[in-house]
Amino acid sequence: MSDAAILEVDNLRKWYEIRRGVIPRVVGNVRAVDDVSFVIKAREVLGLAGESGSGKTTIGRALLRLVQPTSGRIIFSGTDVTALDRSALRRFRRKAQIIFQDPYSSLDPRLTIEEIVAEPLRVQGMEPIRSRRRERVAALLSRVSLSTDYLERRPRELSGGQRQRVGIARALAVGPEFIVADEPVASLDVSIQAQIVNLMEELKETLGLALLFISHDIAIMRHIADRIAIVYLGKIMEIGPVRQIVEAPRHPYTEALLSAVPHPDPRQRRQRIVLGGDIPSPASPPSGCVFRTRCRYAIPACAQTVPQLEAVGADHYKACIRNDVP
Amino acid sequence: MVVKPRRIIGFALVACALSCALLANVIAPHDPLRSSVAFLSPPSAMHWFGTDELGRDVLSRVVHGARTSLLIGFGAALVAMTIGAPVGLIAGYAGGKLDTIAVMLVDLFVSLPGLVLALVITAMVGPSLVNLALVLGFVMWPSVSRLIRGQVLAIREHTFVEAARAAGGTPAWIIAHHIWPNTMRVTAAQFSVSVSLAIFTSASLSFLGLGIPPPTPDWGGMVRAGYDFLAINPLLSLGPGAAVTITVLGFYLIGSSIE
Amino acid sequence: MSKANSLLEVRDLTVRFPGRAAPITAVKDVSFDLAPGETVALVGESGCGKSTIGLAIMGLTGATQVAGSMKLSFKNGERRNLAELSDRAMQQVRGNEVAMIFQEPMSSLNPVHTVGWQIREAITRHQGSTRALADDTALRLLSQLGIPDAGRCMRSYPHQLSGGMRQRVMIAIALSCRPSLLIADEPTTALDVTVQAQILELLKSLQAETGMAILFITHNLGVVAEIAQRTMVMYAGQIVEAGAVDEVFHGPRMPYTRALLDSLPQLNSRGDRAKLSAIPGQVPNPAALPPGCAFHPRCRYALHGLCDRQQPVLETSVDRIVRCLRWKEIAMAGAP
Repeated sequence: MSDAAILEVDNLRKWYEIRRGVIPRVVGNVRAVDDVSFVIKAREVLGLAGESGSGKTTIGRALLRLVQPTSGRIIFSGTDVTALDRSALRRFRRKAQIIFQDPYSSLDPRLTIEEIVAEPLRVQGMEPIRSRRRERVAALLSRVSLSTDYLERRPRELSGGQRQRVGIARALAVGPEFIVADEPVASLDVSIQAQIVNLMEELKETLGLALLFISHDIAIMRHIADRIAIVYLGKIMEIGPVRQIVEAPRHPYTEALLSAVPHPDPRQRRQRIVLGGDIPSPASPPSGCVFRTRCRYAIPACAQTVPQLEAVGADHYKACIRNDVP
Repeated sequence: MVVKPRRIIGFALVACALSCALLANVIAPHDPLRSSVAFLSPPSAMHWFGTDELGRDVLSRVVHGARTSLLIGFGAALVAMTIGAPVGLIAGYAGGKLDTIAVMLVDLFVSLPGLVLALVITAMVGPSLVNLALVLGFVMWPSVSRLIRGQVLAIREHTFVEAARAAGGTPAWIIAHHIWPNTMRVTAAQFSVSVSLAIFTSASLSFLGLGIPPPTPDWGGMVRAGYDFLAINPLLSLGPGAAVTITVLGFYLIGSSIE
Repeated sequence: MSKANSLLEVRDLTVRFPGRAAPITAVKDVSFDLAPGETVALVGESGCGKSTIGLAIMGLTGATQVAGSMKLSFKNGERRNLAELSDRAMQQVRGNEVAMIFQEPMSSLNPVHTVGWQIREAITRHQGSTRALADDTALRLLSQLGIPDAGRCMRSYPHQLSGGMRQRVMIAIALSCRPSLLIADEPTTALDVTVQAQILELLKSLQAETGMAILFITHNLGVVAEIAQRTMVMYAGQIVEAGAVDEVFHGPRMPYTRALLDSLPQLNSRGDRAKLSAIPGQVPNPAALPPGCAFHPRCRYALHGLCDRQQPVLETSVDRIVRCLRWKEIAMAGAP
C-alpha cells in the first residue's frame, strides 16, 4: 500500500539553552535533538529506538508542538506545523495525538474515566451534547476492551494495563490520523505488554493510523513497526525497514544496540559487543560523529565531519563515513 | 473522610463558635448592649460571668462577640484567597518572567511584619468590620499565594497536564479543570488556618485599641477593657480570651488535620 | 532434604504484611537452595513477591511477620538461621556475609556524602580498617569495576555520576567486604540497554573471581537467560517452577512460564509483525487471590472443577519443580 507521506520532518532541532551567572547568560546548549529528518507515510508505523539522551522523547513531543522546535520544519499533510498560530494549532490537535508512558501520572486522579476520555472532545468542542458524548466515550472504551462499568470509576481503581487502555481511548477520542506513542508499554508488566501491543496493532489496522512508536525495546518494534530509526544523542544513526535493520544493521551503534539486548534463550549466549564508557552528555556532544567515542570502528576522520544519512538499500539509510562496517 | 481525633475536636470547637454566632440571640441570656446599674458585679446565677464596667452581662457579650470575630475571620480568609489563589495559580502555571515578578512581589510582602502592617493600615483607614476584613486579607494573601504556587509547580509536572495540552486545552482550561482541583486539599487546609490567624490578629488589633468601635461586643476589645479590672473580676478578660483561644484552636485543628 | 554444600537453605518462607482487613501474604511457603558460586534468577512480574524474598533474607522487611527458616553458611564455617537472628546480629551479617544491590542507586546512595565516604564507611564498619587502608581497598575496587578515574569518582557525589557509574559504586560498596552471597534486586532495570550489558558482564566476571553466589531478582527473562544457571519462576507469592535455565526455557512445564515465554517479543522473529501471544487478564491482587491455583483464571489449560478447587502442590523431579496439577498431561499432549 503505497501511500503519500503524512508527516515529513526536515532538519528538526531542539536545543535547550544553559544559563549561568548572576545575570544569566547563555553559556551553552543541550542538543536534545540535532538535525533530524525523516518521513512517515499514512498508515505506517515508524519505530524510534534509542537510549537515554537520544532525544527520542523530545522528537515525539516536538512533532506535536508540546515542545517548541528550535528550528526545522514539520510538515503534516502539507501544512507546516511549526508555523501554525494558536487556533490552527488547536485544530491540528484533532489530527495528531499522543499516548504517554506513565499510566499513573497521565490520568488526573480526581476525574472519572468518562471525564478523562471525554476531555479532548470537550476541549475541541466536539459532541457538545452530554448524552452523545457519553455514548462516544463508551464506544471508545469498548474499542480498547473496557466495559461501560469503567465509566464511573477513578484511575486508582484500575491496574496499569487498564489505565494505559484508557490513555489509548483518550488519544483516539478526536479521531486522529497520527499518534505518537511514547514508550506506551515500558511501565507495564511483561504479560500485559503483549496485550497492549496487540491492541495497538489492531487499532492501527482498523482505524488506518500512522504511528510513531518510541521505545528503547527493539524487540517490541519487530512486532509493530514497519520501519525503525535508531537515534543516538539527538541524531539519527540509521533508518530503514525493520527486518533489514534487525537482521543486517549497517551502523556500528545499531550493531552494538542489537547485541546488547539480552535474548530470552540460554542457547544463544553469543559473544556480545559491550560498549565502553557512558553516553556523553547532550550538553557537550563529541565533534564530528557523536558516536565515535564509543565506537569500536572509529578512525581519526570520524572526528572531523558530521556524517550525513546515505542510502545503503531500498529506503535504508545510515550516517557513517565508513562503508565497511560493521 | 478518615476519622481523626484532631479533626473531631476542631469541628466541635468551631461548631460551638458558629452556634454562638448564628444563634446569639437565642443562646445569650441577656441583651449585650443593655447597661445596668449593677456594674462590675461578680459571677452569679443571673450573670454567669458577672457584669462589666457598664453593667452589661459579660457572657452575653462573649456570645455575641462570636459573630463579629467569625465574620472578620471568614471575610479576611476569603479576601486572602481571592487575591492569593489567582496569583499563585497563574504565576505557578505560567512560569518565566511572570512568575519571577510575582515571586519577588510576594517575597516583598511576606517580609513585612504582618501585625505591624495591619496596624498601620487600620490606623490610616479606621477600624470597621469591613475594613478589618480587607486589611487582614490583604496582609495574608502573599503566604496563601506562595503555598498555592508551590502546589501548582508540583502538579504541573504531571503527565495529565501535558495530556490536556495535547488535547488542545488552553491554559485557562487546564488551570480550571486540572490544577485548581488538585490543589483543593491544601487550599482547604490553608483557608481554615487563615480564618484562625485572622481572628487572632483582629483580636490583637482590638486589644491594641484598633478594633471595632464600641458598643459592639468584640473579644479583643473586651480583653483590653477587662485589664483594668482583673483584680475585681478576671472573667472580664478571661472570658473573651478563652473564646478567642477556643475558636482559633478549632479552625487550626481542622486545617492541620486536612494535610 | 538439605544439600550438603548449600550456601543458603530457605525452607517454607512466608512473609505477611499488615493489610486493611487481614494480613496480606506476599510470599507463601517458599523453599529453595543456593549453592556457593552459582547464579540463580528469581523471576516474576510485579507483586509476585520476588523482591520481598530478597528483603526477607536481609532482614529488611520491616513491620511484617516472617515465618520459616533461612539457614546461611557463614564464612567462618558456622551455619545459622537468619530468621532467628536479632537485628543487631543481622547488622553484622549484612555486608559481610550477604550484600544487596537495588534498582535505584540514587535512592540507595546517600546524596550528602561523597562516594568515597560511603565505600569507606562500609569497609571500616565491617572490617575496622584504618582510613588509609580503606581508601586503598576502595580505589582498587572501583578500578576493578571499570571506573576510569577512580580517584575522581571517590571525590564525587552520587548526583554527579551517571546511572551506570552509580550502579558500579553500589556494587563496589556491596562487594567491599567480600560477601559470599549477593542479592541483586533488579539492578539493571533502570539502566540503558548498553549499560545493562556492561553491568551484567561485570557481575559475571566478579563472580568468577570471588566465587560468590548471586540471587538475581528480575522480571526480564532475557537477562535471566544471559546470567543465570538456574531459575525460579514466581507467581502470586509462590514458586511455580524452578530448574536449570536451559530446561525451563526450552521445556517449560508450568503453563504460566510457557505463556510468559510465548508472550515475549523476540528480536529474531519467525515473521515480521507477528502477533504477540498475550496472557489474558492481569496479575491477581495478593489480598484477593482466586481459589485453587492462583493462575487458573488466566490459564488456557485450566480445568473447571480441578484447577479452581485444589491448590497445586510442588512436584519435584531431580532438580526440577513444578506447581501445577496438570503438568504431566500437558507435557504429554506434545508441547515442546
